Amino acid sequence: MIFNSIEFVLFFIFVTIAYFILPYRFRWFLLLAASCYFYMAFVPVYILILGFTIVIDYFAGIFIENEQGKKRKLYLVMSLVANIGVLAVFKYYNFLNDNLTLLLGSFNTSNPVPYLKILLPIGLSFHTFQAMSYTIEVYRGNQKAERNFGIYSLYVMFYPQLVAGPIERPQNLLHQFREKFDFNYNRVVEGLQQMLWGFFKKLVVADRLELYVNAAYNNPQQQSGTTLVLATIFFAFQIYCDFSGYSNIAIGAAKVMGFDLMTNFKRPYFSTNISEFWKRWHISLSTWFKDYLYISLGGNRVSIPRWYFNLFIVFFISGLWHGANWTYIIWGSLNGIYLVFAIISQGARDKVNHVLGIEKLPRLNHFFQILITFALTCFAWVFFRANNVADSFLIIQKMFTDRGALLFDKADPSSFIFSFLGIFMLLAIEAKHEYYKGSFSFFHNRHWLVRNLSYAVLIIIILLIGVFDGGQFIYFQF
Amino acid sequence: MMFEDRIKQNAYLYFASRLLLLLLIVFVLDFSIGKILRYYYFKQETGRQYRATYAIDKTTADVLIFGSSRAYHHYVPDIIETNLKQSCYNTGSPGQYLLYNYATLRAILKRYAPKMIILDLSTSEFQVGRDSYDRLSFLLPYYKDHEEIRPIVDLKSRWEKFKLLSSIYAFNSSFLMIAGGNSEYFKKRTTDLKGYKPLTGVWQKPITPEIFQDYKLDSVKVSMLTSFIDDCNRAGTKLFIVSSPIYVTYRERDPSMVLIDKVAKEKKVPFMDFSYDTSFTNHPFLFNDPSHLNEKGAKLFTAKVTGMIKDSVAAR
Repeated sequence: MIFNSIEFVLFFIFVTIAYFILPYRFRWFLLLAASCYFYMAFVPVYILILGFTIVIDYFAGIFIENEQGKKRKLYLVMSLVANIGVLAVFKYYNFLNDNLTLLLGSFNTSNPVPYLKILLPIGLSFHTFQAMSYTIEVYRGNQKAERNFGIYSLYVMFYPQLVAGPIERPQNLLHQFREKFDFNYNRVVEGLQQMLWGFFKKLVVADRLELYVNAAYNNPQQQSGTTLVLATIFFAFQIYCDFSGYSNIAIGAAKVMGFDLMTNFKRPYFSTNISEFWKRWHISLSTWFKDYLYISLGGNRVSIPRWYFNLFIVFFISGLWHGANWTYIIWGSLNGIYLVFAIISQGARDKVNHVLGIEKLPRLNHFFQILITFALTCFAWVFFRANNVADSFLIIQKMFTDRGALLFDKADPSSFIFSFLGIFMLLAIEAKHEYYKGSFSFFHNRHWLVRNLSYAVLIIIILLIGVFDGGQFIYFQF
Repeated sequence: MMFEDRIKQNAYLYFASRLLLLLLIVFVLDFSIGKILRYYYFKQETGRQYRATYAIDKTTADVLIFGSSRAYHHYVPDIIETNLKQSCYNTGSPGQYLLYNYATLRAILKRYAPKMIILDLSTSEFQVGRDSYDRLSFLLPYYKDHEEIRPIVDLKSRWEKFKLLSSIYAFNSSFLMIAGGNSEYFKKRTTDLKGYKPLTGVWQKPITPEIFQDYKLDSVKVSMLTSFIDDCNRAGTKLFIVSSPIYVTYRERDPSMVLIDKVAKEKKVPFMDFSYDTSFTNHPFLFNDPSHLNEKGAKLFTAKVTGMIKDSVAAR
């Protein structure tokens, strides 16, 4: 069941009403049953895979808490191996096998390892990371093991964030399932606002841009470099609105019922450097890697070369997390290289800025930094979106060498105008939030009529130019 | 205590009252904007939507052409009129396939029975896929007044009739096209060629080798073909199924073509398959792109088809 469907809207209304009608002690059960139904609406049998890891992690948590010394570590390792093992089989087995076939093929040897005819369960990477954060936090003593199997299951299956995050931490979410949330008007309205904004991002911006991006990226040989540059910029906004739109809907849906999920995006395209970008983009994943991998590797409290290595390896693995394809690995690695290069070149860049006197023009400097960061991000997105590595390099080559028409043949001009309109509205609203926080607000206006008219206009815009036959959210595949 | 204060004390009631107010504002805006869009939609005098309205609500031509962009660009009504001595209109619509064609046919048959229909079908026409269902949204403006097309539009999703409670929804993503269709500027620039639009490009790249893919056939689309044939028979309309030329080499016959051949033989309907015709595929200068003939190719093709139709009619 995808968020941008009538089925989900009806499901959400039904579950929310039932949630507030039911006595507190039954609510967790309702949410768990609803979450199971929500997940089974995709491919029912895959709930068994979640069930397998849930049982392991539930008992692992209890055993880790009850044991001392090496046994604690043993249970943690067993839990991590089970989680990563499931992910490896479903997500990486055929990828590794493909590469083995290629490798053996270069020695004229056939690959004896069979392929598995399996589909990746939707949202398995998100579920796995959230489950791993639980056992790690119990091991570290930051979280008490959850004794109620149902509540633990709900923690890793809570339907708003089950298939595409935010990847929650047990300290933030688990205790909320035991809290008594009354119907709170302000919170409900705030949650619905977030959901509406998420639907706008998904239907008006992401799905509209997808039409152009898919047409260009699925046939790069036939496109001009100019078309591919535009398609890449469009993709930057598409993936942002697709994913952050999902997060908005998830966070909003949870908020309506009283739950606070962590913020996942903070207007990332206003970042002035790559490091800041990663503090604003997919925050729940970035912080997950920071808390559980980067710091475990020693973070920046190591030798400088090792620090660079730590940064690079985190982004390399982040790329791998996103998908079993070299394109994602290159994308992740490229971001790692950006970060390392930014650190190495910091002194030189400061000197250049000083010599050129750019420091004296802070606004212009700020603007250019945003543009450069956006350009670097877009360059990396080429690898993320391209269908394969060969296409990525072809696209990059064409972007720099092949001038031609901006619009590809058969592009619908009205759809193109709607694309720009969507991006313009998005940027206008985000710029307002970024730079003019305290000024006039439509959605939080003191006057009820202005507020209601603003919501109504947003709904009308969605009806007028939203794409209602759009596809799934991009991040479902991860 | 004031009424509003009492409502504020009960969060549920307060929320319900505010939600009701919002829904009222949305309803008023949706209804008003939807009405305006509907008015201007049906007032268009040029463009793709105008052509659809003309085909569904107005044409009385003896010969009608049905199909996708390949019909739209391949059949020249003037040549058909001259050769067959009957009036002709091309209802071909870019990006639309048999589902759309069948819905249009049902709407037309409700008004009158054309003497002849040429249905142009493409390779991969019956392949399983969502696209041709999603594209039925093009027919949403007609849903309200054309009961006969509803079962077909409902194939898009089971929620269409509920979504259409919004007056705007039927005109989603259309307002720029509606503006264009009402603009004198576009009207002056567009010559009405009875639904046909010539393409002027010349294809200069090598022929596209088709990687043969055996695909699943969509049973709904297959049933639409038999319904299309049956409805024409019932109305006494002569039907000719044609697959127009394509600049692609096939190693094996496309499964959709095999199916059309089989159904046409069963239903005793003439099927002219030009998808392998070397008199076109050997001449790239007749094509605008691999899927479409240019004006020169279209004129040659239309003459060839009408000649074959004349022969077929004479033989019957």
